[in-house]
Amino acid sequence: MESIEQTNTDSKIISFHFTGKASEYFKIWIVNGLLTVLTLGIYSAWAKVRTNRYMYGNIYLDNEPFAYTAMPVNILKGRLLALAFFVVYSLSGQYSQTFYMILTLSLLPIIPWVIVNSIRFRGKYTLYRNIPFIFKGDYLDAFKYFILIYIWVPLTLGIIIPYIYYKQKEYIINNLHFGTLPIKYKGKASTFYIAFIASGIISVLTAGFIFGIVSLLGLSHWNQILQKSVENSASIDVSMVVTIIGIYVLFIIAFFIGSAFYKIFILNNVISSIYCGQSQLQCSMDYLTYIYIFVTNGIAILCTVGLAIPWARIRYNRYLYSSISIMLKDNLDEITSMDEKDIKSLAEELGGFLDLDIGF
Amino acid sequence: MTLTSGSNITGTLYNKGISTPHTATLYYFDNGDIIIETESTTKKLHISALSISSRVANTQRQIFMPDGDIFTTHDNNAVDTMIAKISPEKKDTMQSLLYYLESHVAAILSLIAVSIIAVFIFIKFIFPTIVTYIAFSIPASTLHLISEKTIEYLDNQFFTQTQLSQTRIHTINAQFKEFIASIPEKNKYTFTLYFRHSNFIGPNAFALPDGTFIITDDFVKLIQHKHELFTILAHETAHVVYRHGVRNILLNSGLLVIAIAIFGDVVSTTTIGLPLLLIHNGYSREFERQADAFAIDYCKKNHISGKHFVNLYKRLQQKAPTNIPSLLSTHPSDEERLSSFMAIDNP
Repeated sequence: MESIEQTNTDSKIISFHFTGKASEYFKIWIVNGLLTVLTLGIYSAWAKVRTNRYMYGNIYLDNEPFAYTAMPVNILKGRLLALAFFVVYSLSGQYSQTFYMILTLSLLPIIPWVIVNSIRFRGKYTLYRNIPFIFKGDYLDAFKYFILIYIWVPLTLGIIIPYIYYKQKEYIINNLHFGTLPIKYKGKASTFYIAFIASGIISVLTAGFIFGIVSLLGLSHWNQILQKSVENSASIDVSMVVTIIGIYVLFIIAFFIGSAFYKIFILNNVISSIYCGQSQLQCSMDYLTYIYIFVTNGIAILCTVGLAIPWARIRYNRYLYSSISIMLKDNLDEITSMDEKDIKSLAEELGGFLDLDIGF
Repeated sequence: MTLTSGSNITGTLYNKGISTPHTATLYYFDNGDIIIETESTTKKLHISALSISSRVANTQRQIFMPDGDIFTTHDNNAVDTMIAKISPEKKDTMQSLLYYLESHVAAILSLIAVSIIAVFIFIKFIFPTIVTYIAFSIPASTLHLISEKTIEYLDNQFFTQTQLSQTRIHTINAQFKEFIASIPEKNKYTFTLYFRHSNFIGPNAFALPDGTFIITDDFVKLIQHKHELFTILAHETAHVVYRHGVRNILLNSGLLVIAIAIFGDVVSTTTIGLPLLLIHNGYSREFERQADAFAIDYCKKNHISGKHFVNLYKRLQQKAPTNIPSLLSTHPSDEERLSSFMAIDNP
């Protein structure tokens, strides 16, 4: 079932794999959607837990699945709390500008606190072989990397942005522990600069390429339209609209191709720079395969008015996890979990609300 | 102690805080006793002390023990059988109902049917009732503020000063006063009439929530009889007294907020757009029917012939023909409206 290769004397490469089935997930997904509607949104907390339990429970490493063990009630409380905050927040703008400003400023210290706790929450309830992931990130560091550091953006004309992303990833991963095994990120900031620059260049080249082909193919036709529009003032609007829509679509395609490159490049490089104890992770997604999966998924979702979403998610997960492997140098049978003081329940609940998608 | 048939589950035992897997077998007995055996250890517990994770498709189940040990197994059916046999009270009805729903196509189809009916009832009855209640509790000062802002906006965007002659304005104003005096709601609102010109809007007459009527020059030019004006004013008065304007705003924005809150996770906002437009136009058509009924009632009470409305309507149609299919239209179809006005004269 698994590709196990003996490399050195005491290390082996094991691939992750994802065993979810579209037919199973489709039923969970549609029941989630319907019950969420029927309960006016309250069920969404249960929906989230059941989705995560299905997804995590189908991620296998060395014949053992991951598990998600969070309680829906905690997530519901967090959601209600966050909802209450945002209702007060948006209403306050109508009645008192001072109160609105105070609330806005209070978000600055709250955001890093929520980030820290949501990572802790997710880690605590993610088990592999009975061992949870522990996050020991410091609040002040989170404040530094998620709030303070942005002061430099205008001062450096944005050049610091890839470095910010690098520091945030480093902060999150370096503070994670799998039981007593520390997880370390040994990536470089240059990776993020290369990703930014290369995806920018790819976007521009794609736009130029498509524009070139379109103008070659459609030049004569275009001239006709333009000529007509000069004769008849009414159709100027039509050709204008077509041009604007065309440019818009062109930008979307170019941006999509560029950002797909960014995503793949970052995923491959970041995951491949993660060490869990002595064992190094490896991710080798293929750019063209990813684009192919993404485009065909998108078409399927559009053609089925969204009903293909579960199928598309399963398909993407299958590809993602089959691309990730670990060069194992630690004995998975001898990992012990770390005792951690209980997360304060309020923080835990808020953490459950955000549940940021920061994993690996 | 006797072993009941099929009373064991194979799986893996993890001791608290250690990742070492131990192949294990869980035996259960009628009295609720549980024995978990590995090659080297034996644990004895009672089912009441265990916390068993609910079933999600065929993913691995965890059985949590009070001492922190975990027994995991893929044999979901065996776990369900155990719960049913020796600890029916542990059967979390909600969780097992969820698994039942998620694994039976017929159950999903019935759930879809229930959802459609529930959404229909909500859209058709519950939501409009709530909105109507809110609309009628809005104070007059707020209605006035909304109307003032609307006129300000329209004046900036579309309207210029009226180009009608003073005598024409005077006549129409006198007829307007005569009309207001003839309706029972005359004291509940301050009814006023504004004349405006707009090439963009064309022939149109409408009322704002506080009882302000706006009539365009092109529309005044179409009027050939006082009673023609009365039928239109009666229709617009209905929009004011039934508070259709504010109800419309509330229905529109409320539905969008609810839809995004519920479906936001599932589908994109653009997918929500079209159904919302159809629902909204459905509400609008209902308001128009109600306003027509009010106008017809007014005509009957004041002995005004329905042909006045029909005549004016036909003239309006020549000026600004519309042929939008009824589902997408905010007004009921022409034949429907005209025939109900025709019916006034031959009951």
